[in-house]
Amino acid sequence: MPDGPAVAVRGLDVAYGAIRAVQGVDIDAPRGQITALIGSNGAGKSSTLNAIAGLVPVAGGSVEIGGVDATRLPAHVRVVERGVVLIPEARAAFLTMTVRENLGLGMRVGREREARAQKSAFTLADAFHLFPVLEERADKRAQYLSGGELKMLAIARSLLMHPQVLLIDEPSMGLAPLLVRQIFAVLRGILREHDVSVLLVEQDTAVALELASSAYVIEQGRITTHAPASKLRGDARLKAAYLGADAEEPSP
Amino acid sequence: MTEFLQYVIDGLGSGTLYVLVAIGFTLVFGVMGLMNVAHADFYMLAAFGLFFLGGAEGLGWGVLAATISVLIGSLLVGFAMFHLILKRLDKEIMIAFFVATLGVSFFLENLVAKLADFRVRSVPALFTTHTYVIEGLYITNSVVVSLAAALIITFGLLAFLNYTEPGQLLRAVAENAMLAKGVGINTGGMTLLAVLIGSCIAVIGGLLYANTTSTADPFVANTVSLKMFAVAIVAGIGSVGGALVVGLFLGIAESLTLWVGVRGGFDGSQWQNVIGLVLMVVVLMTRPHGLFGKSERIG
Amino acid sequence: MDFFIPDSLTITYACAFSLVTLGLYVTISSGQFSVAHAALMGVGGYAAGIATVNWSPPFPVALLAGAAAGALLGLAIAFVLQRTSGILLATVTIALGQAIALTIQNVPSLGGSQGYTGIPIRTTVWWAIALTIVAFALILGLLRTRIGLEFLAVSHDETVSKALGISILATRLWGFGLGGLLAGLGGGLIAHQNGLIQPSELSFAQEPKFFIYLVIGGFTSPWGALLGTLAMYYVQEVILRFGESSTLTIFGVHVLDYKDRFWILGLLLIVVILTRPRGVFVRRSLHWKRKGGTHG
Repeated sequence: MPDGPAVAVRGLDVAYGAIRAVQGVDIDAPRGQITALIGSNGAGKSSTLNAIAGLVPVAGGSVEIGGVDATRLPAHVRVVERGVVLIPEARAAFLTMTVRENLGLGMRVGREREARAQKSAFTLADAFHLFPVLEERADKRAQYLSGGELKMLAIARSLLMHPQVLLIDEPSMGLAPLLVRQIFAVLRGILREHDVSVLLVEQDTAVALELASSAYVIEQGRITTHAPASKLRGDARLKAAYLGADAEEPSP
Repeated sequence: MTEFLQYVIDGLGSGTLYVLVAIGFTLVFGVMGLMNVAHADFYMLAAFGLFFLGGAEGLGWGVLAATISVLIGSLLVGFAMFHLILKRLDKEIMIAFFVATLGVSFFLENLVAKLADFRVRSVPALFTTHTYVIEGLYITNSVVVSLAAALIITFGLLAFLNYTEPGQLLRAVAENAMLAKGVGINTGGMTLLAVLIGSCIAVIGGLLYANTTSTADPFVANTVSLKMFAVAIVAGIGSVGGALVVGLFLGIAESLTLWVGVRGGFDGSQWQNVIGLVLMVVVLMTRPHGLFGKSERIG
Repeated sequence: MDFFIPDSLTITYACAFSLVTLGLYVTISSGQFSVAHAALMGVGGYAAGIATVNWSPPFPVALLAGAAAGALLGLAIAFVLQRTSGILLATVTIALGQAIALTIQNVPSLGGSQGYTGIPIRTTVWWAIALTIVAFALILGLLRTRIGLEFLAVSHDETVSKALGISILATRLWGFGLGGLLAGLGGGLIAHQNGLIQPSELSFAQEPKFFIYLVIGGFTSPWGALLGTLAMYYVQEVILRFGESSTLTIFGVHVLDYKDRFWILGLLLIVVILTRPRGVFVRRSLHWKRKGGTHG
């Protein structure tokens, strides 16, 4: 596979009828790193992520995965062939199925991808080691899990899918801040070991900048800032965004 | 008592045929989240397949060859229906989807009606009918065959959905199509699978229905779809096991209406078709997800 | 080419059907996906016909009786099914319409499957045109009032509408009652044009016709209902007349006779929906989303 960013988005447009949710967005998610996409509610973060995953139709622009164009690939092909795995913000597990069945759906893709990649894989035992609570509840239906446990289930299932690129929508939503840090502390090791790149979307700017190495700020469907996370941490305007104050303000 | 049981047995016969049309309908409805109104037309297609291919007035291939052709043909029709129409529709525009399948039904019925000169035709029998007399009850072999078919198909489908990988994938698509795509499931392919399974089951029902009535009616779907909707909705959309229970119940209830009519000195056949409707309205007013249904779940 | 000029009979039927399609539009725009308007039309036709045959009132009174019957049935359906919506409502109304047709068929005093006959022919093309214009103007006016806004709100989102203090039940009753009234009016016109009304005219098999008109016209505007019906009925008549004068045969089968128009219409409907799912005449954006929610 050629070098270069794990995900390269160029001039992306996403529209819902007459509403243009994302306009001309360019993003590079570097290989092996965590990149954050931050912005207020309705700024177009999730639409961007879903477009990269192939779950919403792209109105314009292109999406490259690992240096190869994927704009026209159906979502399931992106998952199986390119290893683009999305962890949605809500409804991230099959509630009528057991925890084990949910994880099994991840392993199904993992087996398929391992046959191609021949790399050491994240196993079910690893998943249970990472999140012991999932092993305790393995034969329970997912509908009986708490919000945090569902999130863990979704993360574990996604890791079992042998991802190349992990797209995480609002990792902090529904989880205690401490738990987010713990999970990401463990995740970082796994991501490095398996050479996984992450693009995450966060409303909580503080959390995002703590987890990511660089970040993009999206406002009203357009990228307004791109900088290393360390630099953005002191940004006053971002603090305003974090407080939700600039949603109505005109962009500078 | 014997008379009562006789009506129950007769009702089982028609009930099984309601089951066979409702199962595929409810499966596809569950997986796609949208209904294919044209599903009941497989009953018409099966009957006319027998008439045009098997019967002496048609190509005269004989019953066995016609039956096999109809089964293969159902897969082709299901395949075409999926690729030409269902796949291409914007699911978000529910009304367009619904009306398009209504259009398919209208098109198929009127085309076949035209080919059959707008007449009800008689079809060759699948097998020779025998009537067994047990304890004063008349039981035909066609009732036995239909009942066996309905039971085998229902439990087979339930086992398929619950214990096989494709079955699990179908359940995943039915529950959350977006997430299903996200875990690498080819949702279009799974929908096609559901449509093909539904088509095949429906023509089996249609063949047995044609065999029971000995006729091919271009507009049989008008009546059959009524039962199909009633069974699927009362059972709960996506509930295959529920469709079996409710379908048999509806058949028996309709038959017993005749019995009550005979006893009470009125023509019960007038009220037969109202039963499914009354059941449907009562269930929707009290349990909108149906008796056995859970939201977005099949099986 | 004589058969391209519509005669008065064609215009009469086109107008009567456009009333039914307009009724269907009104009910659908109130957020209720009804598939029972052929039945509402038929019930209106029976009521109007029975009124004329038994009491021979002035023609407008008979038409009013038909409209009232349609409206009452519409109100009853809306009331009974007030908790059902979307595709389930569509399914139940199909069944309901079908059951009404089958029930009427089994009532000997209504003429059974032969239909109710001996209705004096009173409908003229002028009655049909005048009623269509008046009804259309009234609906256009009504949709600009508070009721129209409530229709829009309820068809968008029932929960939000409820929070805004809109009575869902009242809106639904208006939508189905008014829709039934228009359909019943159309039915009365048709019964007094044909001189009879048959149960088969109520059945589910007749239902696609109105959806073809509405969907081809465009179901987001009353103009779609009107133009769709007039245009499609005309096309249907041209096919019919072309068929009558056609001598085209393939393998001894007469091709393109009048019996062909239904499957041709079905095919046309499918093609239109696949290519223009929002209708031919109307381009306004659509309020009929299955599930709400765009992603942030």
